Amino acid sequence: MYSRTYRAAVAIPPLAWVSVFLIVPYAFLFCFSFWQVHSQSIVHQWTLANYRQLIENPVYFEVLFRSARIAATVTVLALLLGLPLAYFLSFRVRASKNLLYQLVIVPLWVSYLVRAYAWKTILGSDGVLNTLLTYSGFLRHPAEFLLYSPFAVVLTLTHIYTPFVFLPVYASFEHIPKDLIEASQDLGASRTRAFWTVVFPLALPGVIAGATFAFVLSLGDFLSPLLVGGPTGVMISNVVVSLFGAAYNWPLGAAISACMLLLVVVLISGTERLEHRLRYRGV
Amino acid sequence: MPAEPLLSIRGITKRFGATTVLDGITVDIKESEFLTILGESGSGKTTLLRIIAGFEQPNSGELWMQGERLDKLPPNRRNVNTVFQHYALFPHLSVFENVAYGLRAKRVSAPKLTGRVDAALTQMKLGDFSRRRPAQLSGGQQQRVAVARALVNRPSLLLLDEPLSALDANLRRHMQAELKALQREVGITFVFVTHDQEEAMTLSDRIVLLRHGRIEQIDTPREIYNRPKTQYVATFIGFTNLLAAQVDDGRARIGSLEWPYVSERRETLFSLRPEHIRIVNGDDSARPGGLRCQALVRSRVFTGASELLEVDCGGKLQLKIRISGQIASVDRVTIEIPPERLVPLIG
Repeated sequence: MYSRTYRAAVAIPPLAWVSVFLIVPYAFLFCFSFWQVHSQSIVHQWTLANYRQLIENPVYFEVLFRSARIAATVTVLALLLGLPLAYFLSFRVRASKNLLYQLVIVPLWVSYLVRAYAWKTILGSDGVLNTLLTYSGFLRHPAEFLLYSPFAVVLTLTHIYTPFVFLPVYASFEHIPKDLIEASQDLGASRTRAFWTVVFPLALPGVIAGATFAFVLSLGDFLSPLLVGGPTGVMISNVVVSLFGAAYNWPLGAAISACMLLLVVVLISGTERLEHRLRYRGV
Repeated sequence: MPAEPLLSIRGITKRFGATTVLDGITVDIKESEFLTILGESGSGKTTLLRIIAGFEQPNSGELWMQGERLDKLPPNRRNVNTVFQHYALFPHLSVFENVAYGLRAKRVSAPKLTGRVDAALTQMKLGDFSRRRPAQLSGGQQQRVAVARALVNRPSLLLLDEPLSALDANLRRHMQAELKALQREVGITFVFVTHDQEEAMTLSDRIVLLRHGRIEQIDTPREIYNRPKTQYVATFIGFTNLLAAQVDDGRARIGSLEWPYVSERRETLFSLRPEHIRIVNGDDSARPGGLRCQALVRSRVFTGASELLEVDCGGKLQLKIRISGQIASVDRVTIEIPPERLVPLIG
């Protein structure tokens, strides 16, 4: 048995960390969301005006809806890329498995900013893609719609968050005993049938985890829309950033953040429950 | 003319890198037989099974089943089903759906499917468990689901990869009896892989004994026990005495024993099972041709059903003898060996 003082000494640092850097800021955030701005200064006066404004002004809903749409598109694309990749790596590759795995992971070590900027140089009007297309004669003038559009945001976010889908899905695939797949084929199932009746159902918790990552992370992203989104690619986090910055309306920004937080918590706890149910249904 | 074999394994060779796992395996498997592939770990027995099932491709050799080339077909196109070592039941499907899996893959119509699955479950005494998940079953029940899942497809050949190794000793004996009875009932050819020689003896019509990827002997359990061909077979299956005899002039000699035997080899190894040696009482008349000698009893161990003696016949000839009856506790005995029980071994 450890002594009381020892246990306290061990427990206090992490508790203090969580309190100072999580609980207190969240408390502030919630407080701010119920305060107001009067003539360029924040007044500590309790009100629901910020939330009312969110409901009444359709602009915020539009941006939130657009963010959700972008996040959903990114999720679908990341699944379409990450799932086959994970399947290929887990079941088809033998010799160079480790190398390929590292190649998928390596982008995660590169700064987010660099990866987002890379798309800027690829998609820009004098970027790599346009230069290639005009030089080879496919286009007469560089295509302007590539950069500064929701398309660019989706592309960049898909690139950045596909590994987040790949990793849990790959881990799920790797945990499926190979003899289950052999049993499926032994019983007359083709590879496709074996995938949809055995591999996919058993990997579903990983797929849900990956999809949740991709959706939640994309939904709250503000750097990609800032760098490659342009005016039509603005997402909800950009609104929050500007409210906390130039617009100097911290209370409204805090209210949006609180709503986002609630949305994400509900989403994550929902998918977590689903994952748990699927994972333990056999037991 | 012998009946056409169900499965003809012709010169199968399999290498993993530089290791040769199977080296020119040739066996004909007959219709409705219970054939056991017996061998220690690393003998290649599981690899041979996996080649028949289609999970491994041989480097050379062919498989023919009822006039059809089998080894070029993918596993899902072979009329062969497998009971896996760890059963490989689908954890996310109910017992019913596990058993129905093969029929669904073959697109059997719904009423037919239900009928066949229910019949298979009833046959394996699993009727009450059809809605359970595999994880809610005991080891023995899971094993029966694995067998039902394979047999419901009515394969020409059922492969069983050490299916009893995960069960405890009592359940294991029980399942052995069940499997044997089931095989007689359904009349499907069973190819059973095991490392347990006793299990192989109990279950099989014939045993293929593998060692380092080569066949040591193919025979009925009785023949393999009584007429082992090699030293490995003689020692792997049951207890035996190995006698290194000198052969000369049509006679083999060891110690004071001598019997007629013709061979070009000057030295020949013979196997003599301990229970084939008789202890002769004073008034016993000698059997024709029986080899007799005086022996000194070194030790005796009572093992329940029988007693194991170690005797010294002089001239460095020591023998283990198993007797089932009572004998007087004496130091000197006369033993008698029927010469036909001395089985010459090659290699």
